[in-house]
Amino acid sequence: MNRLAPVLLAGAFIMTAGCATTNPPVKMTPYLDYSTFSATGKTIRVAQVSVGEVQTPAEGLQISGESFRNSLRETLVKTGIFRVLPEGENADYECRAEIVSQKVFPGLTANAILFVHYRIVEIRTKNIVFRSSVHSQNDSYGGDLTNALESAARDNLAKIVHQISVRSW
Amino acid sequence: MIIKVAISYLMVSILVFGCGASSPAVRMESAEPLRKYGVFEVAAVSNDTGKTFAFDIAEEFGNQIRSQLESKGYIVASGSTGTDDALIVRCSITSYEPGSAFARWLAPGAGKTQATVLTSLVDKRTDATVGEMLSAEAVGTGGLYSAGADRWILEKIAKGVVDKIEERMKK
Repeated sequence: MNRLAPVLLAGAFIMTAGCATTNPPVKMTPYLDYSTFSATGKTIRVAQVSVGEVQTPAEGLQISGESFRNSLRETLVKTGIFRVLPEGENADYECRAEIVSQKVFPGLTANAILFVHYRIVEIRTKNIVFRSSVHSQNDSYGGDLTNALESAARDNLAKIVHQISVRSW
Repeated sequence: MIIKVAISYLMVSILVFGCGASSPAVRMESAEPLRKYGVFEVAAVSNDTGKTFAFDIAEEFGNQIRSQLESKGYIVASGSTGTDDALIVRCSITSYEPGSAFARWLAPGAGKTQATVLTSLVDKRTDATVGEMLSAEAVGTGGLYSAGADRWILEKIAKGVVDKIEERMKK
């Protein structure tokens, strides 16, 4: 009976934590065919990203506002839809993102769910010209929590740049 | 001794991860309370999972939302009413896995039941979205004690959504 104990313990651990890798997510820029996007000739800057609810099994396992902002910036730069200007420079638009929630459910198949609200404000008029809430979900077999969250972030950014690209500016 | 530790760990895990209620993530357009709405309309729930299941998850979830609202004393219009003073509750099930209690019992971590629902609160008069909620629940533990999770996970999410609406009605 005692031989079963380590198996039970290991099983219980995997069940709750998966084969958890809990490094902070970094690879969040989506893998897209960026040549398909068209330039609008307009400029944009990316505001600081606020972070709301975080429900992950490890403190380090969360997307920070700064890292998400960097990935959003990098994704926009790669698409070439807008010319992305540094903060403080006078641009046509400002992109504001708020990570409403990020959740990770551990287990053999880890689930990561990311919910982000995006707004694009026309700086001259201060009007919100675009708004969208995007949620993305990724299941990662083997319990790689970091990968699950990174994939959810990549899906989220891929969805938003697609939405931005089909709108006329 | 080790067996006892393992079983205790399992029980604690079930309590922490299996049965814990998680409320939806909420984003409201403004801090304005919802109490100005006299009546609710529950729009037909959409099943956006691209799959069909043993029972109609969209219908089940819509019924749960209606029943939870009514149990709290709110008026829920049947169908689209004449009044514009209504808050439309529009839900979309974006992900659902019925899972299996047997699989959870057989292999820890396997057979997870999971559901994600996106809810929009829409002002009927203006057709503007006044708030959004994302509910995500998973049941990954509990073995045979978690039988029926494929249905009660939806009930749990519906309860969370209605609790948040009630919170905003009172604010």
